[in-house]
Amino acid sequence: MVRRNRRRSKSIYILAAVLFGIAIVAIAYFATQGLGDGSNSKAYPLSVLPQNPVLGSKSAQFAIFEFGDYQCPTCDYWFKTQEPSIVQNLVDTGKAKLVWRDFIIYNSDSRLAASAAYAAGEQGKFWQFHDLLYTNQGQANSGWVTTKLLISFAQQLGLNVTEFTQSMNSGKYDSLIDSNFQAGQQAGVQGTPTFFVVGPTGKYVTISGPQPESVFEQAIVSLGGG
Amino acid sequence: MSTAIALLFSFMFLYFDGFYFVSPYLVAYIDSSRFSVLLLDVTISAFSGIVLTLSAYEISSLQVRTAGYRHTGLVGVVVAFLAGACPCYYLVPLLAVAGGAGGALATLGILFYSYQAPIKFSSLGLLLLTAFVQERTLRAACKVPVKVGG
Repeated sequence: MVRRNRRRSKSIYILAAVLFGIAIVAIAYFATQGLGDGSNSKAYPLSVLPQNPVLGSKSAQFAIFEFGDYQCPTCDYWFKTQEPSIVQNLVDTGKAKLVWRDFIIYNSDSRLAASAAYAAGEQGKFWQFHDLLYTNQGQANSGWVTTKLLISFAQQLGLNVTEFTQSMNSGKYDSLIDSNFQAGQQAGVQGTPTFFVVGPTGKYVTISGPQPESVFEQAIVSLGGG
Repeated sequence: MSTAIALLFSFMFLYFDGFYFVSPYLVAYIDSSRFSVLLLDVTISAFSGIVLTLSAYEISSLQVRTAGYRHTGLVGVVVAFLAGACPCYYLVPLLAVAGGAGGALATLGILFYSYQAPIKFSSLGLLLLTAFVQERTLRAACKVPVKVGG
């Protein structure tokens, strides 16, 4: 009986050690996957289309595509903690441009928010509206995205509210939103936020999740950004 | 063994909570506003290691069973897993896509995310309770009987 119990204890210890070892190996494997030599051989399905909002110089060598949802809390977290320094150090310096692509994963409020942002973009205020959406983000799928709120943002930004409302409700951005989602799926987006740092030769590095600015800088270096 | 389990749980929880990333590079990032979450994750991991180890010892070595509290410990570990996995940026979208953007699974994922703090505190409470009871049980079971004789 004692011997059997000792054998069982030993098995448990061995199992724990094996599980721990698997975890270490898995982490090491994934850590080496995206090592930034930019040699991803897949042809990238991403390109900056005329209707894609671009922050920064359109002639910047590197493009950072962000696939996000305005109701996504981790997108909001990244917006508040990392985007300011990325804009300051990479976008404003002309090294990279930030390109927004919708990847709607929550309910129809996300689509309404996205349409509103594009409607604001018609009057030259896409990124300001985008910032207001994240700054005032509520709980996902809670109904915080209301027409009243969106119109208040438009008023805050000094937009023509009539034109803004008509454009927002017209449905004309549905195909753009859908095509962004399809592009994201093609590129392998599995969650939000997901970023693609694309270099001048078309090679790219995928950055999944709300990762810090240093990762983006390293990605640019690995793609030949120096 | 409890250290190994605690480390394993820590690796998982900290990854799910976005304190480190492994692709494209291994990078750790701790925002000062989330230090309390980090502490909570590490504490839950530590107690999960203790409870699981004590449970394993009870199962393998002792005749005494505290079935009810052992189940409590396992519930604590399961709840800790759920809460730890909640904020995972890919879990909620996966649930949303699997269940349809407005579906029940997406709602469940959002609920877990929104209430992750009370869920994690509850699991910590369950783990603490179980660890306390297990410690007392094992202490009683391992007591060397005092022989009274001449």
